[in-house]
This record gives sequence, C-alpha cells and structure tokens, in this order.
Amino acid sequence: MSHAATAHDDHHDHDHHMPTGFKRWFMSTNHKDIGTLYLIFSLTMLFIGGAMALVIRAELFQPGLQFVDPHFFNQMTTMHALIMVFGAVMPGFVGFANWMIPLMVGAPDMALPRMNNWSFWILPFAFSILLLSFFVPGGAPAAGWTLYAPLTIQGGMSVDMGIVAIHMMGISSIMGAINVIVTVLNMRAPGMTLMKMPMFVWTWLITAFLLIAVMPVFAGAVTMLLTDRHFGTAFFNPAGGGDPVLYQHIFWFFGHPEVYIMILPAFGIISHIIPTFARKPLFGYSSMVFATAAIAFLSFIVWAHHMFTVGMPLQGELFFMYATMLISVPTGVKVFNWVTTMWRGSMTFETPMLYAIGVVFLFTLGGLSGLMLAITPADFQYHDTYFVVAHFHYVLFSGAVMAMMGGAFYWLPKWTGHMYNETLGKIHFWLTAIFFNITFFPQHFLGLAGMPRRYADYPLQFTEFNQWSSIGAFGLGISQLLFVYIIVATVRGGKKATKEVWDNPEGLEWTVPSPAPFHTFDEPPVVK
Amino acid sequence: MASHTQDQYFVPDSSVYPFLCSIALFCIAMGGASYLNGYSWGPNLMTAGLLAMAVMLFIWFRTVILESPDYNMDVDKSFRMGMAWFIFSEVMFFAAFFGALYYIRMLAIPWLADTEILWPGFEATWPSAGPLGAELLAKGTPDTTAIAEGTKYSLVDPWHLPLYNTLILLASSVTLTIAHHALRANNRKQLIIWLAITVALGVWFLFLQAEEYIEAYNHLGLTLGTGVYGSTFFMLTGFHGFHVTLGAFILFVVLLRCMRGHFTPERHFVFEAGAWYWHFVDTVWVGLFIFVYVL
Amino acid sequence: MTNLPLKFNKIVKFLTVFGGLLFSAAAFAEYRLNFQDPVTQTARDIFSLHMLIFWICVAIFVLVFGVMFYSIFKHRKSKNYEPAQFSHSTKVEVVWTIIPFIILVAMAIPATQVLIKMEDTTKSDLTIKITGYQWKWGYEYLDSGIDFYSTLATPREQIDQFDTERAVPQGENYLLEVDKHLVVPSGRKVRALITANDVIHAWWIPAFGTKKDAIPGYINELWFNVDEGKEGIYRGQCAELCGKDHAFMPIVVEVVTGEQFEQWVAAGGSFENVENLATETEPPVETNETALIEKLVPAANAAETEPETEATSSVTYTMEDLMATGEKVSATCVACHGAEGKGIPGVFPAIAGSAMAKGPVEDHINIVMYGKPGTAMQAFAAQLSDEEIAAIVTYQRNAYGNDTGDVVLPSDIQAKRK
Ligand code: HEA
Ligand code: HEA
Ligand code: HEC
Ligand code: CUA
Ligand SMILES: [Cu+2]
Repeated sequence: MSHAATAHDDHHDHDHHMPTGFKRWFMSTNHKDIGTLYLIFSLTMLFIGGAMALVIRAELFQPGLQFVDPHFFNQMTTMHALIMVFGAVMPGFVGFANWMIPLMVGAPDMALPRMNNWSFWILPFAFSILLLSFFVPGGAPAAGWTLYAPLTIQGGMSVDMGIVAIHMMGISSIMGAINVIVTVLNMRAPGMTLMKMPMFVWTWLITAFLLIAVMPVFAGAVTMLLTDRHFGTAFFNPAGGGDPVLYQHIFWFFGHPEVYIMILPAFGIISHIIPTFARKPLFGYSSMVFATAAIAFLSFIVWAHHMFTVGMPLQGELFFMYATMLISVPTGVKVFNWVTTMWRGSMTFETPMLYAIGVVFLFTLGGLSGLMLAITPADFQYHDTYFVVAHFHYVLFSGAVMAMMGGAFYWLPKWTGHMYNETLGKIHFWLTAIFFNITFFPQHFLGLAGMPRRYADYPLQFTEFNQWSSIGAFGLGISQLLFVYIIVATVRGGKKATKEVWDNPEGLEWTVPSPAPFHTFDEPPVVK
Repeated sequence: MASHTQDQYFVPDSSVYPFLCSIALFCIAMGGASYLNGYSWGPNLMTAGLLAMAVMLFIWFRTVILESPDYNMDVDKSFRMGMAWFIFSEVMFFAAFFGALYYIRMLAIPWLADTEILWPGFEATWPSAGPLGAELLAKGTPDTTAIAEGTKYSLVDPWHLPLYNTLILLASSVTLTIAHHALRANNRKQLIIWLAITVALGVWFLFLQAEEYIEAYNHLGLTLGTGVYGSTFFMLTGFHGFHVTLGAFILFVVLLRCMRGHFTPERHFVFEAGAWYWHFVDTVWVGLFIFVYVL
Repeated sequence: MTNLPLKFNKIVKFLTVFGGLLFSAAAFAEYRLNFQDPVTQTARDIFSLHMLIFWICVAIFVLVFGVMFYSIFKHRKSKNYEPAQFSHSTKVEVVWTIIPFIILVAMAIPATQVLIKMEDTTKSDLTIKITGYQWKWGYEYLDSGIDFYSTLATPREQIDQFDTERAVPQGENYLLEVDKHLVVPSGRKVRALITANDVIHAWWIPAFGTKKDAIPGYINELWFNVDEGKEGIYRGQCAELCGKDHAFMPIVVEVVTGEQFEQWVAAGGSFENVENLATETEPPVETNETALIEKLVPAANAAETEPETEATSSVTYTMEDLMATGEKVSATCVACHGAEGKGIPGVFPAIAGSAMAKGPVEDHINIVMYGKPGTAMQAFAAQLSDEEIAAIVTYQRNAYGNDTGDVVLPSDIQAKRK
C-alpha cells in the first residue's frame, strides 16, 4: 500500500465541523455515525423480533390456542426469524464493523463512504416493506424463514413483499461487504500487514467474503420463487419437471454460510475481549486466522445437513455428515485458543469479560448440539423438532447476540466517552444468561421427546417444559429493557472514560481519545 | 465541508443521494410487488421509482465524475476492488441458475422418471417440460393422470442465432481490448472507433436475442412456461440479456465520455470497470452457449 | 448395534444404562427428557448412537470448561496472579487439531453403520403409499388395495381456547388422535413410499426412528419393522411446516400381530372380525363427523341393508339431507375456508358471496373435484364420495348467505367422473 502523498488540490477548506440534524444522520459519510445508525437499527429490530418471539412463547405457554390462530402464529415464527437474522444480527455486526474497522486498521473512514450510507439506508426501507406485509390481505409471510417452496407458492402478496425486501437486504449486505473488504485490503495504516490485523478485522474480512458469495445465491433462489409464483416457470413444480427440493439446495447453499456470517464477527469480538481482561496476548493468533478461513471454506460444502430427511442418496448423506462434523475441528481450535488465552492470565471480570466467558461457554454448548445434529441417523430424530430450535438459539442468541452485547459494553466507553454503570452491566449479564438458559435449555428436552417445531399447539406431555420456556422468554425480554437503559444512560453521562478505558488493551482504537473524535487518524498511524 | 481530512485520504462530503436512492428503491420494490398482485397503482409507483433511481444515479455518478480529479490512486484502487467484488457477486448470482440447471437436468428429471406410480410413462430426457408439460399446466387440466407425451415445442437451433451471437460477443471482447490499448496509447480516434464498434456489436447481439425470443414464442412454442426447460432457458438467457443491456449501456456512456475527452492513459477506472463487466458478460455467454444451447 | 466394534458396544451399553437411569429418575416423572422408547431395531440403533455422541460431547464439554473454570478461579487478578506472556505453541495447536479429528472419526464409524442399515429398503414384506395433504394423511396399501384418509379427531372445542368460557378440557391424546389408524403388522418389514399432494410434509413416528419428507411429485422411501411383542398404538406428527394446520395432522399407527393384520386385510380394512387385539389397542376414534355421515348419507349404509335402494341414482335426496350432510362433511373445507365461509382474505377465498359459489354450478363442482393446480385448493374427487361432494356443493351454494337454491345430486357428480 502506498501512502505516499499524491498531489493535493487545495480548493478544499479544512474545517472539521460536525454536521448536525438531517445532514448528520441522513446524509452521513462518516463511518462512526453510520455505525451508530446500524447499531440503533439493530437494537430496534431486536425488540420488534423479540416482541414476536414473546407472542410465540405466550401462545405456547399452554396447549390449546389461547391468543393467536395458527396462521398468525406461523407469521410470527417467520417474521421473528427474518427480523432477527436480517434485521438484528447482521446489521448489528455491520454496525460494529463500521465503527471499529477503520479505527482498528488506522483508516480515516470506510473506503466508499457514500455507498456505506446507502447500504444502511436501504435497510429501514426494506424492513418497512417486510413489516407492511402484515397489513396486506392474508397477512405476513407464514412459510418459515426458510420460505420453502411450494408453501411459499401458495402464499399471498406478502410473499412477494418478502421477496423484494430480501432483494433489498441483499443489495445492502453486498454493498456493505464490498466496503469492508475494500477498506481492509486498501486502507490499512502503513506497517499493518495482514497477519498483524486485529482478529475482529480478520473475521469480518472473511465474513464479507461469505456475504458476497452467498447473498446473490439467495437472491437467485427467491427470484425463482417469484417467477414460479407469477410468470409460469416451473423450477419448483414437479408437474413441469422442477423439484421443490431444488429450492432447499439453493437456499441452504446460502443458509449455511449465512449462519457463519452471523457467528464469525462474534468470534472476532470475543478474541478482543478475552486478551484484554486476561492481560495476556491472544493465544495462537495465526491458527485463529486459519481456523476462521477453514470454517468459511467448509461452510460451503455442508449445506445439505439441513436436508437429511428430504431423501438424498446415501453417498450424499455421508458426504454432508462428514463435512459437517469436520467444522468442529477449526471451531474447536478457536475455543481452545480462548481458553488458553485465559490460562495463567491475570483475569478480572468486568461486564464485557462476563459476556465473553458466557459466550464461549454457551456457544460451545450450542456447537456440541450442532455436532449431534450432524450425525445423520440421529438427525432423523432431531430434525424439525425443538432440539434444533434449542441448538440455533444457543449459537445465535448466546453466540451472536450476547457477543454483540459484550462488544457493546467493551467499546461503549470508546463510542460515548463515558463509562457505563458496571453494577448494572453485571446485573444485565446475569439476568440475560440465566433467563436465556431457562428459555432454551428445556427446549432440548422438548425436542428429544418429540415436539416438532413451528407448531402453534402441542400435545399435553410437552406442557411443563414449554411453560419454563415461556417464563424464561418473558424474563429475557424484560431484562433487555435494562440493556437499553444502560446504553441511554451511558450516552447521556457518566464517568469520563480515558483513552485506554481498560487496563492496557491492545489495538489502535485505544490510541485515540474517548469518545473517538468525529474524524480519526488525520495522520496515518504507523504500526510496528 | 472539505473532503480531505488529510493529504492521503479522500472522504467525500455528506450526500443526500444514498437516502433518496433508498426511497427510489423502496418505490420500485413496493410498486413491483403491488403490480404483481393486481394493484392498479403498482405500475405507477414502480415507474416513478425507476425514474427517480435513474435520475439519482445520474446525478450521483456525475458528482463522482466531477470529483474524480481529486481522487488519488488509493481511491482509484478502492473503486477497482469494489468493481471486482461486485462482479464476483454477479458470478454467484449466475451460479445459482447454472446450479439449478445442473440439478434439474442431472438429478431431478431422472428421479421424476423413477417415480412411476405418480407419473406413469414419463421418461427422463433433456430437454424436458416435465411430466405434465407446459400446456397441460397452463390449462390447469383436471385430469392429472393424462400424461402428455411431451408437449409440443421445439428447441432453438444452437448453430444459427446462438452461434452468431457467440461470435458477436467474442468479437466485441476483442474490439473492446483494442479500444483499451488505444486508450493506453492515448490514441483517441482509434479508441472511439473501436469502442463504438463494441457497443454496436452489443446492440446487435441484443437484437438477435430478441429475434430468437420472438421466434421461440411465436413459432417454436417455447415459452417461459414450457415446464422446467422453458424456465431454465429463459431465465438464464434472459438475465444474461439484461446484463448485456446494462453492459452496453455502461460502455455507451463510457463512449460518450471518451468523445468528450475524459480519461487519461493512466487513469480510466470507469473504462476498465465497464470492460471487466463486458468480459464477464461475455464469459457467461460462453457458459450459456455450451450448457444451455449445445449440450 | 450388532456390527459395531466390541468396545463401542460395551461403552454404549454402559452409557445408555447409566444415562437411562439418570434420565428416568423419579424426580422427572412428568418431564420426558429423552427419546420416546424405541420399538424397532432402527430406533434402538439411533438411540444408542445418540447416547454415544451425547456422552462424548458431555465429556468434551466437562474437560474444556473444567480447564476454563480452573483458570478462572486460579488465575485472577484479585489473587494477584501475574499474567504469563506466552502467546503461541505450534505443538499444542497440532495436538488439539488432531485429537478432535480422531474423536470425530470415532463418531463417524458407528454413524455410518447405522445409516447404511437404515437406507436399505430392500426385501420388504409390505408396501404402503403415504400421501400428505393439507392437512391429513392418505394411506394406500399397495399389496391389498385398501386405502383411506386419516384426519385429526380431536374436537375443535378442545383446541380453541380463545374463549375460556366455551373451552373444553383437553383429552389424554390431545392432538395425537385420528379418525382412522394406519394398521401395520409387527415383525415384518414395512416399506413406505412417501409423497405429498400439495406442499411438503414429513411423516414421523418417533418410536420407530423414522422421519421422511413427503415431497409433492417425488417419492421417498422408508421402512420400519416393529418388534414382535410391541404391538400397540404409536403416535407421531407432521414434521415439516405445511401451512396453517401443520400442528393438526397427527399420525397414529396401530401395530398388530401378523395374523391379526391378515384378518384385518381380509376384512377389507376392518377390525370387526379380528380377535385377541392387544390390550393397549383401542378402536380408532370415531368422530361425530364420521358417525353423522353414516347416518345422513343414505347410500353409505343403505345400499347393503335396504334392498329397495340398490342403485345410488334411485335414492331421493332432499335439500335438507344434503344441507345437513354438507355442513358436517365440509369440515374438510372449513380448515381453509373458515367455519363461516369467510376464508382468510388473500390466502383462502371466502365461499360466502363467492362468485364461484353463486355462479355456474359446473365451475363450482369442477373446482371441488379437480382443485386448482398451483394453489392450496386440492382435487377432492378422489378423497370424497359422490354423495359428499354433492352435499358439500349444495351446502356451499345455500349456506353462508349464498342462497342460490341450487341442489346438486350425487348423480351429477358421478356423471362428471371419468
Ligand atoms: C450462528 C449460527 C450457527 C452456528 C455457528 C451453527 C453451528 C453448527 N451447526 Fe447449526 N444451525 C443454525 C445456526 C448455527 N449453527 C440454525 C439457525 C439452524 C436451523 C435453521 C432452520 O432450520 O431454521 C441450524 C441447524 C443445524 C443443523 C440442521 C438440523 C436440522 O434441521 O435437522 C445441523 C445439522 O448438522 C447443524 C449443525 C451445526 C454444526 C455441526 C455446527 C458447528 O459449526 C458447531 C461447531 C462447534 C463445536 C463443535 C463446539 C466447539 C468445539 C470444541 C469444544 C472442540 C471439540 C469438539 C469435538 C471434537 C466434537 N445446525
Ligand atoms: C438471531 C436470531 C434469533 C434471536 C436473537 C432469537 C431470539 C429469540 N427467539 Fe428465535 N428464532 C430464530 C432466530 C432468533 N431467535 C430463528 C431463525 C427461528 C426459526 C424460525 C422458523 O422456524 O422459521 C426462531 C424460532 C423461534 C422459536 C420457534 C418457533 C416455532 O418453531 O414455531 C421460538 C420459540 O420459543 C423462538 C423464541 C425466541 C425467543 C424467546 C428469543 C429471545 O431471545 C428474544 C429476546 C429478546 C426480546 C424479547 C427483546 C424484546 C423485548 C421487548 C419486546 C420488551 C419486552 C417487554 C415486556 C415483556 C414488558 N424463536
Ligand atoms: C388446503 C386449503 C383448502 C382446502 C382444505 C379447501 N380449499 Fe377450496 N380453496 C382453497 C384456495 C387456496 C382457493 C383459491 C384458489 C385460487 O387461487 O383460485 C380455493 C378456492 C375454492 C373455491 C372457489 C372460490 C372462488 O370464489 O374462487 C371453492 C368453491 C372451494 N375452494 C371449495 C372448497 C371445498 C368444497 C372444499 C372442501 C371439500 C375446499 N374448498 C377445501 C383452499 C382450500
Ligand atoms: Cu403436514 Cu406439517
Ligand atoms: Cu447449517
């Protein structure tokens, strides 16, 4: 990278005023403001999606239909997942990327700032369309977030709205990912070689690659749905020679890498928090990088483990079983490295560290249940039961979402310039962790005992655990109000944060003042 | 506000285009979805969105062009990388459709033929419009046991229009490369001539493709609804045609800019981006020619 | 798991017994923690495999987090622990890449064995075609030609609890009862060909260890062989989201001895003459619906009992008969079109005031008999009798305020078949 000064036209003035109002928030080209927008958006979506989860849990509190009819229940399940996945988790991580990557690589901003703003602003409009679909005849999409054909072929207008909304989210994600890749590859400070990059930057680089590789595939899948619905094509219609299972293959070719898109940045965040609070460098940096790359590579060849029951040929089942199991190896390497980073460190347990430990512990639990799912013959029993629901909430909520919460506490002082209230932070962690387990641990048992997922109503023997789960969910939901309170309070005031915030943390972001000024790195920092 | 926070980096001013483009996108998407479901205002909303988008992109790109003297080589590199990754995303989009073609042809059709209880008499061949074919489907025939012995449609002969189209596109890649060399050699006249030829070839391709479609619909009985063969055929060639249109448009704009004297032998990102795109479109066509027409 | 290496067998047995003890502890009486008791060799193989993998995972978990928590308690700043500064070691990295890999191989071997056994559908004694519909199952015994549909039998009043006043307490087999059981013999390899009519469903009996998707247009295979001595009733549910009533299309399989099964087949699918049914077996639930149909449709019983109504055509149907029957039989239709014929706008059209239900009779009969391809409206010609279709159409044309006054006779329907 050459940063030798090129000729500079001097017709630009050099004032560093921060724009305000509409100009600041709607027209921004500033990575920090756009990052903030992404994070606020993500939190909003977490609440909307969470509210839908609470409707699900309320209905499932008892057998029988008490609150919503099954059609609406299916809308809740579908929209809950779409909103959480595409509205809460993915934009949340993009928010982190926006805020932190330029700070971490010593760049003044993202490489393509206007496109960055566009990536963000597409999202509120995409989700408006998705949410508006509740108000068209027939209500929102109700075929599950996987939108399997032919059930989606039957749906009403909302399916089309869902499809166009997905196209918009896809455009947004691809542009966001291109921006990340270009920033990382082209804007690093002098001296920051690839193998000196912070882990979060590495995980995002690989995540961005996954995004660009699979979002278009998803777009292709839903495009085929659209033409099957309206233009007489027969991709998924056996009478015309198509195959409903084709949809599943294309969807999961996207869908499996998608789940790693939702977890790799979380791994990155954890890899920052643990060394800071263990006061010890990250163990096995280069093996962490390779493990991330290996996970990304493997994620492309395991998709059919979601489809063991569709009746694949035996060889196919074996291939996908073996490939899926292999992912445990690089993931294990990561877990072992984190544990070894803690080993003989000098640990303290501020809120971010609690979150990091919680994530490692609970994610591994979810990962191990994932490994059980990968065992094809056993998956015939687990598939489409609450065991799967338990698995993916362990990796998604206690993996991805809790990692974001930990990351938020970790960098909040850098973002706002204030320390958050440590006691409240710890309380929030414990409430979240405990209620989370009350909600989702019993779902393992429900699944093993035979409760299918996406059920608006269930036989009597599943009652008790469902009640646990529902109670936990409401506790979990209410606990998140505390999260919002802490954030708002920290933005508005609190103890001034120092430049370094923590005890001698590593990384360029700690070399700039807190809050990080509107424009950082007027001079490219030099990394040794 | 000034864009340069320091000498090496270029950070553009705040800009309202992204926000307005998002609104336009919203109108296109929402209008489209309503259109498909029979709302009379759907097409209007969609057209308004498309127009707004076109105008916005025009202004946006114009701004970028006006700014471009300010860009340093880093910005240029960012743009290049951005374009390369965008093309990669397009490759993956086509991969989904090629994958679908492969799956249907090699796996699904043979499986369907194996399920004799459901589709007695259906045989695995390619091309195939499936056990019931398009006509029966379209009519919504009640009698699902009546198996069409293959609906009446014929195929596009690969050795006529598609072959010409292959040659045209390959030739256009060559002419484009000649134009690029001319640009590097700062030979304006050559540049404009060869670029113009390239655009003309692109348009000619589109013209022949349209002719092929008309032929298919009117005489061969091959339509989007001709079972899965029609689906894969038209979706793959259709999306490709759409990309050719886009590529030709980009090159046309580049041509206009060349005529205005834009670009230098050293700095011509947009030219190269357009060229990459064109080569990509060309490559996809070769894939189409082999897998959709010939095999 | 007969062909596992000896050691695995032992480990699995030990762990299974141990696990079984743990999981069936009295304290958990009403909390079922693990798989339903397996009744086929396949299900037992799966269960052992599941427990084996489970315990390996537990071991890994305990080990990894044992180390982590030890570290958390020992290596903390509050104990003035000085941080070490090591940051890599190729040796341990290699070790903890290879050991997990070996563990995975050890898991993959038994998994592969079980899978290969499961996928072997050859040498079956009996073949049943299972078809998923929104929202019921169709069964067809390909060897004997017996076929019937199997629909949820739990009354609506138990399900709808919106209004606590009207709600009825739920029965023991709430949502797990159907009007007609699938009957299969024990000790024989039953092969099922699974497909669907509209959307994807999945046929799942946990105790048999079988789950397969039912995919429209394609046929999937599965097999099960229930142990002799395990005759009884086994229940399962649809395991693939198939729309609104996905939770309401259970599967009930009645396993009888081979002998009883033959008697059942000989009687054309009736238990009337079958003797010595196991004590657990119960007669299929007879819903009000089926009972009423038999009472109200003259042809159903009349043909055999009363000589003067030999041919269907000679029965006289009154509008009242047809309306009454229609109201009952259209329970099938109500699933989508709603009890008041209002449907769900945008998804299922209303019958009340529908152009089709008030327009030409011909079209109305057509859509009911042949459905509309590509929509949830399926072809009912094969599922319902002439009388039922006639009754339903008559009902829809006169109920819900449609009041066309049209009467459709079974003979009209009969004429349209073929
Ligand atoms: C963040 C998201 C995320 C992540 C990270 C994962 C991780 C994994 N998942 Fe999960 N999964 C989902 C999200 C995720 N999953 C979702 C959303 C679904 C459901 C989709 C739907 O149907 O709606 C799903 C469903 C799903 C299925 C399909 C189940 C079914 O429908 O029948 C399977 C099957 O193989 C599976 C497997 C795995 C495996 C093997 C991993 C592995 O990556 C886990 C690896 C981690 C570990 C194993 C733990 C740590 C390792 C060690 C401590 C080392 C030592 C270990 C050993 C040697 C064993 N997942
Ligand atoms: C990142 C993704 C993500 C996240 C974070 C969550 C979070 C939660 N999910 Fe999610 N879920 C999915 C992804 C996710 N889920 C997916 C992919 C599916 C599969 C869908 C399908 O089958 O198609 C699914 C399905 C799913 C089901 C199965 C539905 C079914 O099969 O029918 C259930 C049931 O319990 C559930 C529950 C929950 C709960 C209780 C939370 C909680 O963690 C949410 C907690 C957060 C809040 C609740 C915040 C909101 C707070 C308020 C609104 C304030 C509350 C105020 C008061 C109560 C006063 N989810
Ligand atoms: C699984 C859902 C489902 C079931 C069960 C069902 N229908 Fe339908 N029905 C539909 C759908 C969807 C349509 C709309 C088809 C279309 O798009 O035109 C429809 C359309 C109709 C129409 C035409 C209405 C109009 O105005 O166009 C009639 C009449 C009808 N059904 C009668 C019946 C009868 C009689 C039964 C029972 C024997 C029945 N339906 C069962 C889903 C169902
Ligand atoms: Cu049938 Cu779910
Ligand atoms: Cu997966």
